[in-house]
Amino acid sequence: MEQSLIIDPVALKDVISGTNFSTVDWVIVSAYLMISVVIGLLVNRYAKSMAAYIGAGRSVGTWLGIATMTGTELGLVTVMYNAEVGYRDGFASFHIGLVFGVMVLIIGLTGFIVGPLRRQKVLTIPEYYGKRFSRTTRILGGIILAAAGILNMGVFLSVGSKFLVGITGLNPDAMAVPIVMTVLLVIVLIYTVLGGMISVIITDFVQFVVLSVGVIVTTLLAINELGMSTIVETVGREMEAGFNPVAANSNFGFSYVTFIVMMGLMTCAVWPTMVSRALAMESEKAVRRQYTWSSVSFAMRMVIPAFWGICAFVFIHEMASSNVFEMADAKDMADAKNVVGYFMPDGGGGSPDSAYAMPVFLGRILPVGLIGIITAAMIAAFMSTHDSYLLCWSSVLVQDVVAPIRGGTMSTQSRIQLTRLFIVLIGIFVWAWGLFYEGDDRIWDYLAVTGAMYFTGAAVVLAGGLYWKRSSSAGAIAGLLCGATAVLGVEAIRDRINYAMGTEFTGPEFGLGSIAFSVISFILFSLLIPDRTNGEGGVQ
Amino acid sequence: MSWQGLWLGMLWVVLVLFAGMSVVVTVLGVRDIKKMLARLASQASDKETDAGVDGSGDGVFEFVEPKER
Repeated sequence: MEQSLIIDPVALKDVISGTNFSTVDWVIVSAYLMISVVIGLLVNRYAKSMAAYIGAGRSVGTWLGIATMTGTELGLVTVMYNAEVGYRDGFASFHIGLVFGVMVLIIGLTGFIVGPLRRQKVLTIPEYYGKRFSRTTRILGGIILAAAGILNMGVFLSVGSKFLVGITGLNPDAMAVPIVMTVLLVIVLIYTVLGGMISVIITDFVQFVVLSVGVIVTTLLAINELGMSTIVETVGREMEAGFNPVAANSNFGFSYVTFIVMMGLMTCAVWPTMVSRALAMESEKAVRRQYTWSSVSFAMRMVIPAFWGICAFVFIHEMASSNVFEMADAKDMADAKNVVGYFMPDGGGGSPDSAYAMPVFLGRILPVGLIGIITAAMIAAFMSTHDSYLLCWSSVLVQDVVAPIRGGTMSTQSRIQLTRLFIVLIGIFVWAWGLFYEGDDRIWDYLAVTGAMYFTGAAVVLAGGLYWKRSSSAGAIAGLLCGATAVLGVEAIRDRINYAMGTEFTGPEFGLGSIAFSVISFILFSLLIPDRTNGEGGVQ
Repeated sequence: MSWQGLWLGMLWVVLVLFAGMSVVVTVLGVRDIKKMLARLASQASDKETDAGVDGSGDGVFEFVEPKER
C-alpha cells in the first residue's frame, strides 16, 4: 500500500547533512583553488601597463573571449537564482534563457552598441561618455555604474554560501560558512590584484573548462536519475502554470515577459562586465563573433540551472509520494523524511528556503569525486564572477571618477596601485555586506533593481550617443539620472508609492516606466540644451 | 507547437550546442592564450607605455580628457 509522507518540519542542518560530499571532494576543491592562485602569480609579470592590467593589452582572441565571457556571466548567483526560479515556476522559467540567448545573438549579428563602442578604443563605458559628451557625464556615469554594480554584487557572497552549505553539508549555524567564503574571497583578491585582467581571463578559461564538464555531466545524471517523462509529468501535475509563462495563473505574466525582453536587450548590450570583455577583444569582428557564439552559453546559463531547480522539485515530490516505509535502508528513510519535512512542511513551522533545493538535490544524486568536481565548477563560477566584477568596478572608479577629477595627471603606476586598493576595499565591502546584510528581498528583486539603476540610463545614453547626432551632454546627464529612478521599483519603496498613490504597479511595470522616463528626458534635454560644438570623436 | 514541446526542444538544443561549443572553445582557446601572452610579452619588452607606441596610441590605453564646457 502506498502512503504519502507527511512529517513535521525539520531543521536545515538535518537536511543538508545527507549529502554525498566527502574528504576526496574537499581535496579536489582545494587543488582547484591552488591552481587559480598559481596562475595569478605566474601572469603578474605581464601586467606592466594600464591597458594590460585592465584590458589585457586588447589581445584577447575570439575563443578565449567566449570562454571568459561565459565564465564571468555564469556566476554562482546566476545558477542559484535560476535554479530557484525553476524550482518555483517550472519550465515556464525557460523564457528568460530564451530571451537572453536571442538578445545576445542579435547583438552579435548586428554589433548593436558593442561594435561602435569597440571602435572608440575606450576601456570603460564612462570613458566613452567623456569622449562623446563631457567630463561631468563621465564622472556621474562612473559613480552611478560603480554604486549600482557594487550594491548588485552585495548578495553574491551570501547566495554562494547557500550553495556551499547545501552541497557540502557544512553546518549553516556554525562559523564554517563565513570562514570558507572569506577564504574564497581572499583567493580571488590575490590573483585579481596581482594579475589584473590577464589573470582574470586565464583563470576564467580554466573555469570555463571545469564548468562545461560539470554542467553537462550533472544535467545528464539528473535526467538519468529521475527520467524525463517523470519530470514532465510531475511539473504538469504539481504546478499551476509550469509551462506557459504568459498564462493567467502564471507567476510571470505578460508585463513580466515584456520587461524581461527590454531588460535582456539592455543588459546584454551595456552590462559593464560584458562590455569590458568586448573592449578587451583584438578587433570589432572578434567582438561580434564573441557575442554570436556566446548566445548559446547565455541561454545555457539560465536554462540549465533552471532545469536543475525543476529536477530538485520533482525529486522532492517523488520522495513525498513514495512509500518510505518500504525503503530497505533506514538511513535513506530518515533522509527522505528530513528532505520532505523541510521543503514540504505541510503548513507547520517556518517557510522553507527554496534556494537550498537545488544544492540539496545535487548533494544526493552526484557520486563521491564527481560532486567535488561539480563543487569546484560552481566555486569557479563564483570566483570568475567576483574577479571580473571587482576589476570592473575598481577600474571604473579609478579611470572615470578619480583620474578625471584630478585632471588626468595620474601616472600608470598610480592608477594600477589605486585600482588594486579599490579591489581590496570593494572586496571588504562585499564580504561585510554578504555576511551581515539580512534583507527580505528575493534574490531576483535585489539584482534586478540594483542592476536597473545603472543599465536603464546607460543603455539610453550609449545608444543615443552612438546612433543619434543631436544627443547632448545635458540629455545624457538627464538620461542617466532618470534611469537611476529604477531603484523605486524595490519592494519596500514600491509599496509605499503604491499606497500613497492608491495604485498597484508591479516591479516590472516600474522598470518599464523608468525606461520610458529615461528615454523621454534624454531626448527632451538633448533638443532643449544642445552642445555648442560637436568635435571629431565627440570630444568637445 | 506546444509550450512543453518548445521548452523540451530548447533544453536539448542548448545542451547539445553548449557541449559542441565547449569542445571548440577549449581547443581554440588554448591557442588564443598562447597568442595573447606572446603579444603581452612583446608589449612589455618594447617598454610600451600608456601614451602609446610611437605616439600612435594604437592598441594601448588611450586617456582622453574632454574639455569641460
